Amino acid sequence: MAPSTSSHATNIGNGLSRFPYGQIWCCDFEFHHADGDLPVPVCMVAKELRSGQVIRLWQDELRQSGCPPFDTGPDALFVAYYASAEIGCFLALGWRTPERVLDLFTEFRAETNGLWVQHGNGLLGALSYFGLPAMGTEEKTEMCDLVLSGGPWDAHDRESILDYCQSDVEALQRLIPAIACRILPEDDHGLLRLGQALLRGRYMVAVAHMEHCGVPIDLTLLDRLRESWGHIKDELIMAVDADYGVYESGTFKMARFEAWLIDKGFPWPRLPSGTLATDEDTFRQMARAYPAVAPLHELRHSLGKLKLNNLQVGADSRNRCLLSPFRSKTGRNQPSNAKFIFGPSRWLRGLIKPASGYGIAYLDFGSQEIAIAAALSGDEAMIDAYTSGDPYMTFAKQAGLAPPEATKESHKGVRNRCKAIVLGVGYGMGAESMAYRAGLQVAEARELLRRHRETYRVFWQWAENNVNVALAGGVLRTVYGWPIHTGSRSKLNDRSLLNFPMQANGAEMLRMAACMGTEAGLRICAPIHDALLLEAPLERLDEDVFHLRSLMVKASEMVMGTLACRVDADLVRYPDRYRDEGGGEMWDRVMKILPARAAGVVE
Amino acid sequence: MSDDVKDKKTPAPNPFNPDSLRITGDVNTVGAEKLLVRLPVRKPTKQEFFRVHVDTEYRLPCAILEIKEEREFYLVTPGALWALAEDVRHVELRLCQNRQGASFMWPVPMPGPDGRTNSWHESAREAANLAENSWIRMIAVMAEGGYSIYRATGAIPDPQWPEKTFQELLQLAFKDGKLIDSEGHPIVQQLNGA
Repeated sequence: MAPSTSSHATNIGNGLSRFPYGQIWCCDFEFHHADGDLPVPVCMVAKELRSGQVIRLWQDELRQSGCPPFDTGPDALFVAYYASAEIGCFLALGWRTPERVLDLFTEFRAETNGLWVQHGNGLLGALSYFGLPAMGTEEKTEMCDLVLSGGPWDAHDRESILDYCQSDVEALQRLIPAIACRILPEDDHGLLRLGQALLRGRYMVAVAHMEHCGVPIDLTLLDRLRESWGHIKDELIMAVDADYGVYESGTFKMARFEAWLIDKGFPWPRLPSGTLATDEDTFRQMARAYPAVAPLHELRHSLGKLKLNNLQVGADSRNRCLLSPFRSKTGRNQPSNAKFIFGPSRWLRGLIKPASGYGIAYLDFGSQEIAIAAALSGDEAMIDAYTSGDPYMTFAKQAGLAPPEATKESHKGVRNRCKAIVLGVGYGMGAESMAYRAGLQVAEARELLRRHRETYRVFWQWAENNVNVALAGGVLRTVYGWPIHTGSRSKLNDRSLLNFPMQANGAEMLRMAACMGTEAGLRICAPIHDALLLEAPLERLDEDVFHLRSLMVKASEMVMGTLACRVDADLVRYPDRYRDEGGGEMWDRVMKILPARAAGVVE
Repeated sequence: MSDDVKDKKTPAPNPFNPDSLRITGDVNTVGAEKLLVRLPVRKPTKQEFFRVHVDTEYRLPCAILEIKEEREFYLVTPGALWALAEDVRHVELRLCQNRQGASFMWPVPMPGPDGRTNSWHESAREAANLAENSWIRMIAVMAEGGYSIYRATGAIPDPQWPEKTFQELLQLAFKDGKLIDSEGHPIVQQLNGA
C-alpha cells in the first residue's frame, strides 16, 4: 500500500543529507512545440535545495545564456520529473547536459513497477501516492494550456507561468525525500541503489538526444499519402481482397473470412462465444504463423488503426515523439503506436529515408533474449546453442530432433518448429500460444516445450527460481536494478515473471548502448525494441556503424558478463529508403496506387 | 557545505562507471525450493517414461493392500499380515520418477509365497529392472498378456532424486493412516465387516 504521510515525515529530514553531492538542483522547464518539432522553451525555474537559491529565467534570458545557469558537473545533482523533457530543452538551447541526473519519474516507476497505482505515473500521481500536497488538476491543466498556446504572453501571464513552473519545482522538493529513502536506504553503504538510479537518469539524457535527433522521413511522400489516403484505402481493399474475397462493399465479412480459412485449412483461435477472434494480437500472431495472412493483417490494420495524421513529423522532416522510456513493466520504451514511425504498420516504415548525403543503419542485437537467458542462467547447453550462431538448429540437434549433420537447408521444417519454441520461451509464451504462432498442433508444441525443458534444465531451474524469488521476496531485479514488484496490488502471473529477466535485462542492454552511443557523439535517431537506428553522413556511415556496433557489443557484455551478443546491421544509403521485411508487399501495393492517384487517373 | 551534510567516507556513485552498479546475483537472495510433501503410490501410466532408483536402499519387499474403489494403497506390517492374508499382495516398493520430475512409489508385483507368478507381473518386473538404467514406458497389451516395454533413445538427463531417506519417503507415501500395523486398523475392521 502507499506509505502514509506521517511515516515519511520522519524520513524527509534525513533524506537529503545522505546525497553525496555539494549541490542539489531541482529544475523544471515550461515549453511548447508543434507535433514533431523541437521544444521551444518558455521559461525555467531551478532551486538549489541546500542553499535555497532560486533561479527564474524567461525565454529571452534562456536564449541569451549559452550555458546552464548552475553547476551541472559531477558534484551537482540535477533533479527533474521526466528529465528527458528538461534535457530536451537543454539541447534546444545548446546547453551542455548535466552529468548526474536523478529523475523522480523513473524512480517512482521503479518504486511501483508491477503494482497498481491509483493516480497514474505523473507528478501529481506520485505526490498523491506518497500523501504529499499537490496542485489541483484543473489549475494545472489551465496553466499547461496557457503555455501550449505559444504566446504572446503579457507581464501577468509571464509571472503566472513562472510561478506555475516554480510550483512544480517545489513539488519536486517535496517528493525527493520520499524517493530518497528508497534509493538511499540506511543499509546501502555502497550507494548501489543511488548509482543505479543515476544510471536510469543517464539514459534519460540519451532519450533526450534521440528525441532531439528524430527519424528522417520522406515528408513529401507522406503529404501525398495523407492527401490521397481515403481513395488509397478503397483501392487497397480491392487489390488485397482479390486474393481473399472477404470484403463486401468495403466491409470485412466474418462468414467469408471463415470460408477462406476453411478453404486454406488454417486453424484460427476462437472466442468463448465460438466466433473467430479477429483482434489485432490474434491477427499479428497468425500472420507470423501463416504468411498468407500477413497482407490481410496489414490491410486491416491500415484501414482500422492507421491515422496518418497522427504520425508526428516536424517541419524539418523528422519523426519525433515521446519515446516513453520505462513505461513498460520490463523497462522498455513504449512510444505511441500512432505517433512513432516504428509503430505496428510496418509498411509505413518505407517513409523512412535518409536525407541527401546521409545514410541510416538499423543495428539490432541478434537473438538477444536467448543470449541473456543463456548467460545469466549459466546453462552451458544454451550457451553452446547461442554461440553456434543458429540456436534453433542447435536446439534441434541437442534435443535429438535432428541429426548432428543437419543444416538450416536440410531440416528447414524442424528448425522452424524449434525456432517457434525457443523464441516463445524467450517471450514467456505457453504451448498453446506457441502452437498458434508456429502453426503447430498443441500436442506437438507441448512435446517440443518438454524437450526444451530437458535440454536446458539449468536454464529452467534458474527461470523458475526467479519466479520464486519474485513471489517470495516481493521483488525481482535486473542486473542494474530495474525492479518488478509482486504483491496484493500486482496482476503479474508466473509467465510474465519468468519472462521478466530476459526482457528487462534486454532493456538494460539497449539503454546502456544508447547512452554510450549518444555520449560518443553518434546520431542515434531512435530505439526500437532491441535495436538502434543510426544516421551518419555517407562518407562516415561505415565507420559510425562499426563504432556503434562495438558499443552495443560492449553494452551486452556489461549486462551479460562473459557472453557477448551478436549485433546485426542493415544499411540504407541515400537515395534508397528503409524497407521493412514484413511490410514490403503492402508498401509496393500502396506505391502502385499512389502515382495513379497523383496523376488523377483514378477517381 | 558542512561535513555532516556530505558524507565524505562514501564516494558518490558514478553512472558512467556501471561496473560498480551491476548486481552479481547476491541481491535476489530470497527464493524457494520445491518441497516434497506427498508421494503417490501407483504404477506408471501408459503415457509416461519413468526411471526406477537403482540403489538397493530404495526398495522394500512388503505386503500391501489395495482398495481399488478408492484407488488407495495401504502398507501392511508383518504383525498385521495374518488379519489380511487373503487380501494383500506381495510387492516390492520402488522409488520412481517420470520425465516431468514427479516422484512416486511403485508397488512392483512379486511372486506370492507359493512362488506363483504370471506374465503381467513378470513383464512389470522386467520393466522395473530396465528402468534402473533407462527411461522406460510400459503399456498394457491384452493380446500379448503383458506389458509392452519401450526404451527411450537419445541422451535424456538422469532424474534428480529427492534428497530423503527411503524411510522418510515411506512415511510420506503412507501417511494419514495408510499404515496397517494391527487388526484394530479401521480398514481391517471394515473388511471384516465390523
